[in-house]
Amino acid sequence: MSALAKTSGKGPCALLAAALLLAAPKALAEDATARAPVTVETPPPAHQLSAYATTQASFFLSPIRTRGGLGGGLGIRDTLQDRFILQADVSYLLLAGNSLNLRVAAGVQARGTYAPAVFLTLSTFFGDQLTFLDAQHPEPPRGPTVALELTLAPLRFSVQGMQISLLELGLGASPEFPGLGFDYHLGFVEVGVPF
Amino acid sequence: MSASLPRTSALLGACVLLGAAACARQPLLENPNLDRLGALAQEVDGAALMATVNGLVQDHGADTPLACTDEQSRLYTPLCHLTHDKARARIEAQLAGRGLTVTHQELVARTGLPLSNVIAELPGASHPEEIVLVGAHYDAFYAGADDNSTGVAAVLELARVLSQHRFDRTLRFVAFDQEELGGIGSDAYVDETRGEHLVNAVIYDCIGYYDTRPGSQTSLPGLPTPSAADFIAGISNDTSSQRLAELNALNDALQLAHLVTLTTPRSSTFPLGSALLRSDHSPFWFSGQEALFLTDTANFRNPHYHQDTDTVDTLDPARYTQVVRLSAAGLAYWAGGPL
Repeated sequence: MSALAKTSGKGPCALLAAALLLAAPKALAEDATARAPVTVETPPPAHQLSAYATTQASFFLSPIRTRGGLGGGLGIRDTLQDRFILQADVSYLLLAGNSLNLRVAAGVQARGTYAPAVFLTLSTFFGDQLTFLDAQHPEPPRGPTVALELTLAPLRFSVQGMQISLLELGLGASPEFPGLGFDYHLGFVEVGVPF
Repeated sequence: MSASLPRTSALLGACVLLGAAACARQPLLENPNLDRLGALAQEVDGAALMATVNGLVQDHGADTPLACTDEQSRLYTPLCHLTHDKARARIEAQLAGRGLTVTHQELVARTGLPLSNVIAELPGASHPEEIVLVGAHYDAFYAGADDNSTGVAAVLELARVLSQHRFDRTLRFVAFDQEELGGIGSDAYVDETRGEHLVNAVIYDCIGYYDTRPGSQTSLPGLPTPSAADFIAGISNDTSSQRLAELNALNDALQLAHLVTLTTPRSSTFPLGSALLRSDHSPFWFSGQEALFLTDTANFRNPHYHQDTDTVDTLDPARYTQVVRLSAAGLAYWAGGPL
């Protein structure tokens, strides 16, 4: 005791301070424990509807036609149990004429803030197209093209129900009777807001 | 019940027949006389064609270029090597020599330069008011062998061949002035002839340069273009897509040229399509008339494009001749003949 008093040179005040320092962490910890809410697992909502806006480059290329371009659009999304996604959007594209790209997709996402997702998409192009004739297609092809596409959204985030996705990638295929056409999709930015 | 069965079967049968009839594809070509069209195509003489190209190239070489300013020279040097007068004189002489009526459309263009389109006609036998046109621009930078002596020589050779026959519709041969300054001659022509019944127009610009090496062809992004520059491109807009399909069908039947087709929507008035508007077909498209553009794709394959090296020795006479033969068959088909 005397040695401690001698060392600090401050007497009882120093001792009180040291005691407070030693006691404080324990007291704080106990207080925190006392005030911590009881964790209750709340089930994710069965349906969470969102509206979203997207910007993209989408093309459909085959030996007999080219259509698509750069553009953007709007869509609606239903997220089921914070896991499964059903969504549909329509975009206006400009480069190879004027075209519309209607995309209907079903997918699955990771739960949490970082929420990458994968979709199976039916990508339909309407409108203008550049066309080419070949031996199997002696007349210009008409009508829309419907491609089945696998879409990856590796940089997708969910913050308080709002979704942001960067650089989505999609690759699909569609029959050209005979032959095959390919659908290429690059989503630049997509922002979804719950409602 | 039993009585209704035959009636139901008959109805079903009728529906199937109606469905089949609705789905049945109409033939692309209406009663083509392929033997006669093929024989006519073979009347195109490759040697005569190349002789005319040589003559036109000499004309351009011997001609005095149009005046140009220092600024034009700095902006685009070929502008100071643009000629047309001597080539026009040859065109007039050759067309008149075929017994065709030759007229001129002369005016002062918006460039401030006098403009002269040369027009010759072979009147139709039964529908002279219906016109099938073949045209090419005759002004050229430097010697202008591919661009566009090949096109002009094709028009003149077709005038020689077709003027020996009769057709239901009128065939019109046109040499346009001042294409290189922005399609000015063809623009003026379309303005003046608005209201005529034009069945189809075939426009040539650069049709004699070919290269069979893989990688010799470049293209616009997204177009399924062959790697080798050994084809002729046939380009239409939506309005004239049926004519392009007909030309393609004729080519398939007669096996004349390696034709690669492209139909562009909205007369190519969109960002990717502007490169498809760079010749005398575009005024026809913009006025709602049918026109096909035949081209070897010019600078997408030809390193001599708008250079002083655009000379006759760079051309491929055999492939070039086949393209003109295909055109002869197409023009004769659309003109309703030969009778």
